[in-house]
Amino acid sequence: MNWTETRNSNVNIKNVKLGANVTILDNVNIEASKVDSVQIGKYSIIKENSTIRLPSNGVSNIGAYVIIGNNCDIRSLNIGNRVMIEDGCVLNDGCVIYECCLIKSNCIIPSKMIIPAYCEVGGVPGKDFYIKPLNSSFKKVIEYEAKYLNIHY
Amino acid sequence: MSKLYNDSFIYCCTTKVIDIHSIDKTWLFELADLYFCPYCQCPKSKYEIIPRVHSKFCSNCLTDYTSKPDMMRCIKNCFICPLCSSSMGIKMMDHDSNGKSFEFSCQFCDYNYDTGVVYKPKSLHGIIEELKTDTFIRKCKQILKMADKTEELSERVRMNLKLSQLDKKEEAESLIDEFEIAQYPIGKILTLKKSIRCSTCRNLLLDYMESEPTINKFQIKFNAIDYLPTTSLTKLKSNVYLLHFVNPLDVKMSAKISSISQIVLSNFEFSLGASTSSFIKGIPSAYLSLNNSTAKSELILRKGDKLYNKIEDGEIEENLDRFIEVGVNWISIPIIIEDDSLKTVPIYVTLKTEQPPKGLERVINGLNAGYWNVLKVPK
Ligand SMILES: [Zn+2]
Ligand SMILES: [Zn+2]
Ligand SMILES: [Zn+2]
Repeated sequence: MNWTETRNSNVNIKNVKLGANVTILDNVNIEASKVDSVQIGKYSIIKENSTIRLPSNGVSNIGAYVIIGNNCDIRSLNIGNRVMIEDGCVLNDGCVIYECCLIKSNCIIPSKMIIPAYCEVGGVPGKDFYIKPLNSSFKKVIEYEAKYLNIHY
Repeated sequence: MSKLYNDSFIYCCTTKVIDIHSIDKTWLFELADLYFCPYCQCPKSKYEIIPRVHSKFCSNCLTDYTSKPDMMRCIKNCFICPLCSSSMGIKMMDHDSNGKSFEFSCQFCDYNYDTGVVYKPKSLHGIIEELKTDTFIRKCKQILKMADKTEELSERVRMNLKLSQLDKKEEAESLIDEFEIAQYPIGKILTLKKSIRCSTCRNLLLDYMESEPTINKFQIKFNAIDYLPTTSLTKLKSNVYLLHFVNPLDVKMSAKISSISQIVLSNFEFSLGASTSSFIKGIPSAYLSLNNSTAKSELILRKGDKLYNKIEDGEIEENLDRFIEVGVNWISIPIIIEDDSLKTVPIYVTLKTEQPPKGLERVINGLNAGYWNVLKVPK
């Protein structure tokens, strides 16, 4: 079984529990201090120059079919299945993203914020932050995107 | 191929006919944002549906508020920052004679709020409500009171007159400057789950199975992406492009397309096979990358030696038909865009199926739909 694919040697996946067909691109930094402290579900992909850090309370769970774009800084507690995080996003300490969400590029999600399922989130808090409903089509659309990216890089 | 970023839009408006020379972007939607009404057999945008609140809850404490139609914010201890809408941390401190104080601090910005010592037990919302004593809030409350009483009409009319005469932004600001405006923590806005009906025929297009906040199972779901083909354009060579159609249905579909005069199409009528359970077989060749071993093997399987053939200048233009590629449930059709300045290509698509798609057996005998699809020309 194809457990994981990383495109170069400078990605440290020690202590990371990876599902099938996970893709991790160049210069991804996963700071997992304990065994299985970061879990990533099947068909998820982490693009270049992104960082996954542990939240201050506990471990980091990333679901299946999760796409994390380039230059993201992720310190969430939980990311549900079928979540698309575009480039340059910051997910602050302990935030929770439920299933099927679209996080638009350069969005900042504050600490401990909970994003309900089927939402689009964008902007920076205090400036132009918004959360709006996302059509249920995105469940299919994001899963398709993750599967496609798995055979693209 | 992406169903998320494909620069393909559907013109969706039942009241205004498209002007293909100057397309009103208000009515252009991505396929993933549209519903599909199987009764009317047409895509439906957010402007052509009737939403109804199915259930509502606080995403922070998961309290179900469905039976409270008037409530829009959580009345438990879930507060958000008045400046940036982030969640607020709350710290309680004990004081002499059973006094307590509460300190709110925003998890994101510098905003914080201290209630001071409170002696009477009360909900946090009640405590904050009592502390709202700044001059602006006082004036608001006074105006509200006046609105109830007819005897104070003259004062109300005077205030309204004063407000209506403010025509400059600066004047309005100076009026606001007269007041001291304080900011208080506010209750978290509730999350709504909505059922959707078609505004034309009133049939349900989306409905949930249950109201349990964290469960999102649908009883009825008619999304356009499940019924209409995904279309996209890729560049082949100079002004030659490939127009791709992918059938999402489990039944065979026949399609007819027409476009504007600046476009030369190789084929106007074609059929698309039923969708396949093999993910890779459902992807047009133009979207398979030679950099990935799985995709490359599939390409070799499909094209054999021809994969590395160089296309000579003018070869495609002379024989467009030869470059049509047909897959399990997709087709790629070469098109020539003669006008270089053209930024979008509108095509009219007519779809037909001989059999009803899965789940629609009781609704229709077959799909029969027509709509305008507007595609951005790739650079
Ligand atoms: Zn709450
Ligand atoms: Zn704040
Ligand atoms: Zn209808």
